[in-house]
Amino acid sequence: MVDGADGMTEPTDKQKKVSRKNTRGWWRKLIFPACVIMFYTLLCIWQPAQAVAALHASWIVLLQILPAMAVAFLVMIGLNLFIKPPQIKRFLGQGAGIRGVLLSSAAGILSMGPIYAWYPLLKEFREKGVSNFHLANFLGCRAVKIPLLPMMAAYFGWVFTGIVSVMMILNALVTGFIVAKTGKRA
Amino acid sequence: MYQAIRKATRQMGMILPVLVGVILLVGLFKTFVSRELISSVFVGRTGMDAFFGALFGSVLAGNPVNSYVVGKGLLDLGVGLSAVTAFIFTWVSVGVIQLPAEISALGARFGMCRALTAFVLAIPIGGLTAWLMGLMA
Repeated sequence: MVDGADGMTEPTDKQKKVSRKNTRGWWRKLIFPACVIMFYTLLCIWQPAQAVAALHASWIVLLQILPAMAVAFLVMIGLNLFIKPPQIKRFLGQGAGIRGVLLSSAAGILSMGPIYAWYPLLKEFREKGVSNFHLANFLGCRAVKIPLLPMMAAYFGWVFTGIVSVMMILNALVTGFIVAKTGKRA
Repeated sequence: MYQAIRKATRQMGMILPVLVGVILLVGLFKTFVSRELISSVFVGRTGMDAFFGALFGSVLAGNPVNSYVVGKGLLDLGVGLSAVTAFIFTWVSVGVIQLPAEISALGARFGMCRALTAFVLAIPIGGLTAWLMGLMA
């Protein structure tokens, strides 16, 4: 990436190639939603009441993810404006060290809302050079939900909650390690 | 600033179709999969129950609080702690339903490898947690 006249960064040839590939394959992204919509159409014919209930449940999910998506969108604008790929690479790229591990773990634990809202941001991060280890570690650490810990403790006790939380963080690290190794081999 | 907003909108828009599909799929699961259906699968063998716990947790989606409620219900029904732990664990760390969105954003190799690793690890983690809880009791 090189700095453009407006302060934004110009894409490199490799990034342009990836962008062209994404644009060409846009119709593939429609296959999955088209299948789901087709299923809903059939459900509307055979079990309209269930279809309405499912659509209502989907609407509730959508309302739940909107705030997280708004946060992710703002973070993406901020990233595009202020953070350059070399900076992200230094903090969360390969060889970022223990600082990178702590940063991706903390970001995963503190990130709120359903995961779907965060995928566009993670995609952006990856394009800017974040390693697979840190992405997988971030996703794994999202399993630890600090605001929900008291609720988990109310159901299962604080000892269980503590053990499971530690296990979730360890699992995120191991998963990150395995995903990074698999990616390297590929 | 305009460029940054435009770029962010394009990035968000690229994943939007898959996201809509995932949200609709979550709605279907919430409507059709009941607590009774889940509890009917557990047979009382620790290893198998942990496997099925991990399997159900992977397939189901939604607020993690729901996994606590269902998990507590399973415990009350006599399902082992290892199965319940694996269930809660995979609910928040695997997510088969959102896998298409993850693959769309981060690639098939990444998504499959991450989900599979989290699923496989959930079973020993369930057993280990139950064992540690037994030690502390």
